[in-house]
Amino acid sequence: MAGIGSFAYVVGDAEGRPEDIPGFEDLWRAVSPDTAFTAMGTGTYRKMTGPLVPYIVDCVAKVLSTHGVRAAEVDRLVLATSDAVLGLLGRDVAVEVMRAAGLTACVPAIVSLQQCCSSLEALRYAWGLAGAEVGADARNVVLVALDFTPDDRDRVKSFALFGDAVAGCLISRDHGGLTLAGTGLAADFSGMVGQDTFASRQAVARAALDQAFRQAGRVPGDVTKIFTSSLFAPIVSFNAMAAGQARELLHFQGPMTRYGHCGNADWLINLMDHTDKSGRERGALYLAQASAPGFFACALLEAG
Amino acid sequence: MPDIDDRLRNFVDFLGTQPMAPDLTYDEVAQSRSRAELGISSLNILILVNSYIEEKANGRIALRPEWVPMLEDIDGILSVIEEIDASAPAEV
Repeated sequence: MAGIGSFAYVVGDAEGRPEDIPGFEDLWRAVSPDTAFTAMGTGTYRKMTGPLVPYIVDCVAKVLSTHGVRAAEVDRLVLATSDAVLGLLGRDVAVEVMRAAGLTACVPAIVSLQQCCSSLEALRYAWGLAGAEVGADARNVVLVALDFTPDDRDRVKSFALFGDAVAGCLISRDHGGLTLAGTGLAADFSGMVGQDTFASRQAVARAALDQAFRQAGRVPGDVTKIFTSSLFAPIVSFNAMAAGQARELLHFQGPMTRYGHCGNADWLINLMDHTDKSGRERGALYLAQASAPGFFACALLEAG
Repeated sequence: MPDIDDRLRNFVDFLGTQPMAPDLTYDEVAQSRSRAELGISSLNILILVNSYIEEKANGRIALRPEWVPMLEDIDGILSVIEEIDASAPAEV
């Protein structure tokens, strides 16, 4: 049985404040007219000041260092990113990361086109590579979720303020960790084209959550903590309400206040932030979830 | 159940206290059917409902999944507000 662990993240090295973004007030007014930004709950964000690859390599090194796994022992590298960033990656990004990180014996892949839900689908894929599925033969899979926004003006959206970060973990047959008990992923085309409604957003969330709980043979009342996308506080409240989740189970506010919405890396960062503060509870059932226009994804993770 | 005019008046009065709400009259709200017609964005209605719970129930009421589809139209919003009022602790 594989385990999911060795979590690590690297945020952009420069700290920014929303109000310092050129034309911030006009940008905010354009996406959320008549809404006070202060009600959103975001304080600062992080910005990458250099090329992306060194941040990924730094994150991979941190992931491998936890159990002293050598780079040459990694069989698979799974990158995950949101749609907008996919178009910004050079076609040699995997080779550059592998060369710089010494991952010379692994097969790379990228999972995307599901916005901020991409890394949860990547987790399911990575788990399959090292898990019990037919054809699974990897011992060590490194999963890396990355997202960044080159132009500060593009950070301002009606549902979140975007920050830059890379977050990862190791899915390994050699080292213990969390077990993937169930996953869910659902799409809502009306959301992809900006025509979703409260009801359609609720439906897509429920569809994905139902998948995951059914697979795991668990019920929502079993969940110990929820690591969700770091969106503005009112949006997170809405998403929790729509899914029938208790707000006190959500863990996102601290990282969201410090780092903003780091795209598909959020759930990983929030899980690590919680573990750093509270430790990992034996027998806990964690729900990692992400929502994006047109998508909802989730994963149930059991602590041994 | 309160008369529809009382529910509507309560809602419009509350909107008047909220900085992100458009300036609306009773007649304008009475003649509208949807949230969009009132010029209230989906983000703002979430903030408004949250603010209403904070003000009327001191934040002690959990938002309910069945309220989600009701927030698209005026009748639904009025019903949600009525349910919040009915659920608010008496001492608040």
